[in-house]
Amino acid sequence: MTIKHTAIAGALLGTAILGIGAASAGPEKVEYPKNYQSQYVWMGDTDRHDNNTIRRLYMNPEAYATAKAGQPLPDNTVLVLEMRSIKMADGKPVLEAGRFVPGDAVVGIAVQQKKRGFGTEYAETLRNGDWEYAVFDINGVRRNAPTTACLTCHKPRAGEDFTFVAWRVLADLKK
Amino acid sequence: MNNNKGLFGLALATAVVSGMAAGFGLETARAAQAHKIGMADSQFGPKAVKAKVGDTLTFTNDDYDNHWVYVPTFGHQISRAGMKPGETWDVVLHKPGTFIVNCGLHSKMTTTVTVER
Repeated sequence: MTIKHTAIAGALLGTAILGIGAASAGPEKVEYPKNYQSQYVWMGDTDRHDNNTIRRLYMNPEAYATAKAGQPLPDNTVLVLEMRSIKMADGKPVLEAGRFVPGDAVVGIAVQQKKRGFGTEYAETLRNGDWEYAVFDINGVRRNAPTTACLTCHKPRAGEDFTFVAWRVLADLKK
Repeated sequence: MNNNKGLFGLALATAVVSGMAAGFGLETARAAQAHKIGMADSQFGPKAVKAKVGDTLTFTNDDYDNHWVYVPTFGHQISRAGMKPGETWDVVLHKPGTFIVNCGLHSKMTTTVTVER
């Protein structure tokens, strides 16, 4: 009986360890890109009218330099999506020329990185090519948030290298 | 000769009035318009919209599914996720240019908007 309980406990512990390992293996490959605000290329601000935030997109300059419009992004591309607060008045967004006005606070940072060999741990139904995702707090500390939602949401964007905005912005900026 | 003078005077007066009207913007006065962009069968309609600065785009979800309207074009980037069936979203156009509208949930949904001054 004791042996049986020990075996069950061991199996459960093993499953738990495997589960934790599988959940954290991918995102931990992505490093926090320090100094992205000063060193990366600004790719525009998206006003999110569904949650009253601004999504500010940056791209690492090395990848930007070699990226070509309409082609898959280069190996070692790093995209940083910075979520910012906006200025509000009377519970409504302040608008200037129809656009949100950025507030002072960064409320979250998500990073999407492409590197040869990334993504191998995912099933093909979920894998985003060589892309991996990670979420950080405003101090650059990794948040152990599941990134399955990132993979699922970006998966249908395979035709634009799993991006929503970067593909189009590159086409606009590199005409 | 007198008739000629009279005609010349009339033409001059017309030109002055027309010039004043143009100067005050009366010649190009045009009420702002609303342009509906519907969503049905996971498609935007129409596939191309021509509008002017000051006009409004009214996105209307006539579909059975949720949609996520977003504009990825640099300088025009806006987004509204979670548009439920029956919901509408008005966007006033402040800037000339051409931009693409996509759905974040249905990658084949797209339309193009051209905004002129």
